[in-house]
Amino acid sequence: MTVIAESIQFEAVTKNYGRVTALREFNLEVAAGERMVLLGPSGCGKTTALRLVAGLEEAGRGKIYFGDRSVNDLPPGERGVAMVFQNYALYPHMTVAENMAFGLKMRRVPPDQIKARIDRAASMLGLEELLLRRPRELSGGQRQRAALGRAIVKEAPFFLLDEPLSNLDAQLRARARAELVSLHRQIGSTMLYVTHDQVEAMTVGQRIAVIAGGELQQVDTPERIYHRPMNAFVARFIGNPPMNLMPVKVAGNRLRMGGVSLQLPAVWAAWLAERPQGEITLGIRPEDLVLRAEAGPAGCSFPVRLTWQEDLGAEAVFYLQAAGELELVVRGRPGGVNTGDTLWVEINWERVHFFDGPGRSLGRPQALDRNDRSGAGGA
Amino acid sequence: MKVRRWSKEAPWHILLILTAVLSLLPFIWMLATAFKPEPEIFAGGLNPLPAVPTLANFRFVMERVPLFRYFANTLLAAVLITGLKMVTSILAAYGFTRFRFRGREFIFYLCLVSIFVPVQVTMLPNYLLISHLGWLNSFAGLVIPQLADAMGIFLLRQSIRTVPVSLFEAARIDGAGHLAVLRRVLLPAIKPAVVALAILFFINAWNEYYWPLLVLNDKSMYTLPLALQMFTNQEGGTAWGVMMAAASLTALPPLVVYLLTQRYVVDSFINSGLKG
Repeated sequence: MTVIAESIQFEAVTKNYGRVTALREFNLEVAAGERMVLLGPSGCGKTTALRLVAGLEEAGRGKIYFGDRSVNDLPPGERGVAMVFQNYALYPHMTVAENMAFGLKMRRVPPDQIKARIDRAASMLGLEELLLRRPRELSGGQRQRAALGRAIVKEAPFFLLDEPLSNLDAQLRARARAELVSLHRQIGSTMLYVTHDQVEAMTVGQRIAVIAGGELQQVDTPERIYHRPMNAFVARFIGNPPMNLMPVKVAGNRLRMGGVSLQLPAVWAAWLAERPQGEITLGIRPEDLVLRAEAGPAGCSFPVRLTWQEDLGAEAVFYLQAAGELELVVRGRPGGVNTGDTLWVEINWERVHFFDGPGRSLGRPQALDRNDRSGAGGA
Repeated sequence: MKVRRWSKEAPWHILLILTAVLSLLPFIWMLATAFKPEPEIFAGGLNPLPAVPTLANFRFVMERVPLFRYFANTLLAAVLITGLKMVTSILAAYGFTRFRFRGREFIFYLCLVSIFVPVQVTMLPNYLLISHLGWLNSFAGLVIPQLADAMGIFLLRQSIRTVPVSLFEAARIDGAGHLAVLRRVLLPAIKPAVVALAILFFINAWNEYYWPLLVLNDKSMYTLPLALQMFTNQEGGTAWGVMMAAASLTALPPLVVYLLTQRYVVDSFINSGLKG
């Protein structure tokens, strides 16, 4: 079953709740049939954006388009959206089959078609055995699938999901992510998926829209969101443990952070010389720092003290302190070091990021992207 | 273990049984007196059981007054009042919870305050209004002033608020209008509260005494509580056996309604206690 998907477009949408601004001048285009994830911390406005698409909230200013029609004045029932709620919102007094049939009955779909659609959705989701049960007789995972089933029988062009996996345990969640992606491939609707979980965003989204404080921070593919964050917020929000961000001072080919002075590679030194001087921040992911037992060539590494380590089996997370109250997190192979040891850290300069005072990315030298291995392309 | 639990719980059970007996006593007394011949009522001491049970009192009631007529009057009025009052309460409670409009809370609390106005205060203005409308001694005059109830609106609003908002939203996305949401989603979700309230309304409407007393003059329109009053006779002394027989017959229908639906009443109390 493939539905005719359409694009969704937010055009300068602002939504206030009393004095609180949930979304400010929000612009976003979701392509027809795309899987777009809205990602951000709680209260950032991502759910508001989803509810605006569903028609459960009215935009204060701005327009929302499905294809090329403005839907601002269309009630939820006429928008052609199917939605999965965080708490599933299954009708408690109806069986799974009745839950699935309800929206179709409201639309006066003929009974034989309703039955056919329910059977098809049930077999896609493995719900056949559960059709006659009521929601309270289902486990969490079964309820989640019943809610998905209720959404997909509508064969709606828009498929909205509001944190649909947050009530599942970790193992079930990993499986459900994969199932959701394959489900979307089968139905082909335009999918808008709200989550605060970056792993979900990275695995489910074809593109991710990172939102904070009611404003869009960046829209991009998961790789580019991870490897080319456009600002310090995105850089810190994506990745676990988060990116190390340190205020630095650059003078010629020397870089100073905390009490550490390092030699800048020539390509960065030349590039930074052309940027506006002043307060800048260096960002580097924990896996792009290399921990060594001994010092490297002078000016390339700096000494740190291991304050804490978490051994996760396949890898370990090291919490380090350097001169000048500088704190760092490094990811590496576990074993061989003890808390309190003095170690040396080397920076993988191909992977560093620089942000200006307000936190905007300064970009990177083009010369570096020629041998880039991240697959994320140029900035 | 078992013995210990017993010793802990027994006092409570004894207390509850005593309370149950105490509240049942007047009912048993009424029923027993209805079956006693007149001389035995005051002669038997406190023994509630009739020595020689008799149906004479019931026969007398049936012969003296058109009891079935009163029964029909009362049933019709009570059913109409209950039904329509439920409709107005449900719609108002839905509006007060699901619609956002300016002054909503103010209007709601204004409505709520009317609970605290004693019936005696509104009785006279209501009477005058009904009389101006020419509805005295009419069924309309009996029923229409009783069709809205702030208590019902309040109680239903409370239970509607326990229903997750996402349920309403899911129904709206499913394309259901407000009436469909109300009928297909909301009412089934709060069924115990609705049934319990309907029973309360029914019992109140069934037992209503003052308003029918004011409005109705024509004996053929009387309701059962008014008819009961016909058996009290201030001058010649009341025929207690007959009175109790009539009262027993009057109390029967609400009792039957309650017995048939008590599952819901208990449900709604349990729900309000545990999930409130």
